[in-house]
Amino acid sequence: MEESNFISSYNDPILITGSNGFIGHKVVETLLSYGFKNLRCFVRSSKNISSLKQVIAPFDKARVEIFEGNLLSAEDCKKATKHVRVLFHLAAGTEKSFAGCYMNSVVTTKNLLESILRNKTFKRFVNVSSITVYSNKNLNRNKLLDEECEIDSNIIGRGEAYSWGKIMQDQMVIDYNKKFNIPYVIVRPGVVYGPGKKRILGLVGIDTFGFFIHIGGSNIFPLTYIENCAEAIVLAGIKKGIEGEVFNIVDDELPTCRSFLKMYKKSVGNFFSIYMPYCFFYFFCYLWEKYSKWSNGQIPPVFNRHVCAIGYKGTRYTNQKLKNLLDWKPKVSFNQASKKYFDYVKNGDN
Amino acid sequence: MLKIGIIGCGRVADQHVTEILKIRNCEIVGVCDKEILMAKQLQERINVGRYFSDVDKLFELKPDIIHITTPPQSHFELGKRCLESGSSILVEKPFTLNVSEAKQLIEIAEKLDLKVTVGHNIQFSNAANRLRNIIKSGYLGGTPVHIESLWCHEHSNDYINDKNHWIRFLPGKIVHDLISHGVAIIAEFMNCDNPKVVAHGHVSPILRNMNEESMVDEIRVHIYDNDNVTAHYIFSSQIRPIIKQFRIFGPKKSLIMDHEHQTVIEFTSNYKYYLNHFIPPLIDAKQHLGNFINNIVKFMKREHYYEAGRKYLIECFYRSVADNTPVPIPYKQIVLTHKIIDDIFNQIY
Ligand SMILES: NC(=O)c1ccc[n+]([C@@H]2O[C@H](COP(=O)([O-])OP(=O)(O)OC[C@H]3O[C@@H](n4cnc5c(N)ncnc54)[C@H](OP(=O)(O)O)[C@@H]3O)[C@@H](O)[C@H]2O)c1
Repeated sequence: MEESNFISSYNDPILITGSNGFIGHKVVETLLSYGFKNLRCFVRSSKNISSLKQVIAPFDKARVEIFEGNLLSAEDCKKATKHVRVLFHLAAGTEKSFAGCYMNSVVTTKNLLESILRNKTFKRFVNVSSITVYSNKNLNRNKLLDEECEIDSNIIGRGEAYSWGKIMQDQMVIDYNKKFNIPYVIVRPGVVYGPGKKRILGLVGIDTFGFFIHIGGSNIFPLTYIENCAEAIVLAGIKKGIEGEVFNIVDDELPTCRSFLKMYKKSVGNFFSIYMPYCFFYFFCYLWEKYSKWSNGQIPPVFNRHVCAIGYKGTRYTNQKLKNLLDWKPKVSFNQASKKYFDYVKNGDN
Repeated sequence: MLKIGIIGCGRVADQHVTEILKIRNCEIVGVCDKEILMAKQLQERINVGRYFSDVDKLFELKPDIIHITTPPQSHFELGKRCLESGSSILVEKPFTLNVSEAKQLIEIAEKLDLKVTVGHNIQFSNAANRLRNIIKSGYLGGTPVHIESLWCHEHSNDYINDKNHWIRFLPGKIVHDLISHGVAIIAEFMNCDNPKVVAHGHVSPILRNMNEESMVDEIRVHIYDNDNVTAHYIFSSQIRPIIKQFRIFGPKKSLIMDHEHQTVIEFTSNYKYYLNHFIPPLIDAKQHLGNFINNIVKFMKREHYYEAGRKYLIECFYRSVADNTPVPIPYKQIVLTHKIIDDIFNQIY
């Protein structure tokens, strides 16, 4: 790779938060394989970081510092961002509670942004968001969801703490850019899959009631294989001339939910599932939503019409902007990726 | 209208606020967190009151009651400041870090004619309330002979992955945040001041495999009050399925309550010879069916939900403050709970 196309040199310090996470450790590996030699990997605890260590091991010439801390500590953030040129921010709150998601997605982001305010050599904040922040309310069925689509304004009503946290996180980054000129790029991956993650069937259907209800049908499943996704994130962090841009990340050759489920069952093992057409599920969500409201939250409003539309209305996705501005193309084809993934789900790490 | 304040706007505050918003004749006037963003996000979501990062600003609103939902290390200091500023307090469990702090807070409250309680919500679940009523009616046939409380737990990544998590710095580490539910219910029915406590603790293989050898997560305790009532407390992160059970044995009859299933079952009497193998299982089946129907009916009446105990406790406490009636958890019980907890941790660490 030509260093002159990048905003930072191979020796510039780069910070990766969430570096021990599912995507984070692959981002570290990709950076190392691109030739970056000065990485600081932020981890909450250095006790269980075997997958991170494994990806670092082959690159013994690189200087990789494992920085143990918590992004909720302003002090830790200050130390971790010292002299850093590029920051890949992957740490996030992924739990069910609103407060928990806010804390680990937004407060952490604010602490990082505050800590780089006085860093004169800082070049880019790569904010890893999610494709779930969009609303498809004003999109007809099977219309294209791209970077121009509106962000969900009724996210609390949707009842998804994680996506709400991500929206507030993006907003924080944009606000700091407006106020303090901190350069940023936002990336929004679709459903990331690959070894290390067993359950990804959320947009295909639900298994809340002890068996699998398949709802996705002929909808496109917005997948991105972990290696392809990590490369897109890395390119978003180092390419010149893309300040303030937003990139959605999905692979080529996206399968439909139905075909993915079929492949999954064939490769991993059969299980019972029934198909529920969108209109039926929509009606079920309507009833659930009403009961939840009437009963004062006796059942949580996890199924509601808004969630139903976002998840299963049927939307098409594009990676054109990634290709045009970052020269990215998925290195691992869907055939190879799905085979590796299904092998992992079936046999584990061995 | 009672004026309510919240200090600490994390996950537990979310649970409190959800229930407070269902209660009549009270309004949240302000929420406060030392991280102003946390206070702001809560205030914006519930869209009532104001938000602050400075507790003194909250005190200026003169709340009648303040919920303290911060990590336990700050409960005592914050509790004291709230009381001194004129508010009664509902403190999330564990009430304080030790019994001496618990006694001091209660003393301050009594001196200032204010009230305190602790967030032992599980003690007021539908099943727990039913159990209490049965016992009150004299069902056991005298004072309890023996009590057993079993509390199983599954470790969460929260504190396992975070070496600076506040839980790790509590005197009883991981267990300290959870132990009071199972101990408080023993304290409720033991009815004594100074029982002896013999505790044994060890590290489970689950934690050992995670290289966490300094945190005890298997605890067995024997509690006895001279020649009177005895109790066993078991905390386990290994036993599966997750069981949270309370058993109370009386001189005539005995009861078993399952927190997880929200059932209360009476131990069936014995019958003669082979009848003993056929009749009691039938009676037990009838009891389980009764519990099923009871839970379903409560569900239909919108009274059966996970946090029902929290709402009940908060409502009772608010009433006790508004009407100056007794608090839902007697102070003696709070002190006894913490005395037992102190004794356990002094022995296992
Ligand atoms: N996976 C997907 O399908 C997907 C899709 C779209 C977007 N994303 C985004 O991609 C990013 C990475 O996702 P992932 O799947 O790799 O998640 P993950 O495996 O859960 O990793 C998240 C990491 O963040 C760390 N973290 C959380 N709170 C922290 C704190 N207060 N201080 C320090 N570290 C903290 C966690 O540390 P511990 O290991 O200590 O818990 C974990 O390593 C996230 O921002 C996520 O929103 C993911």
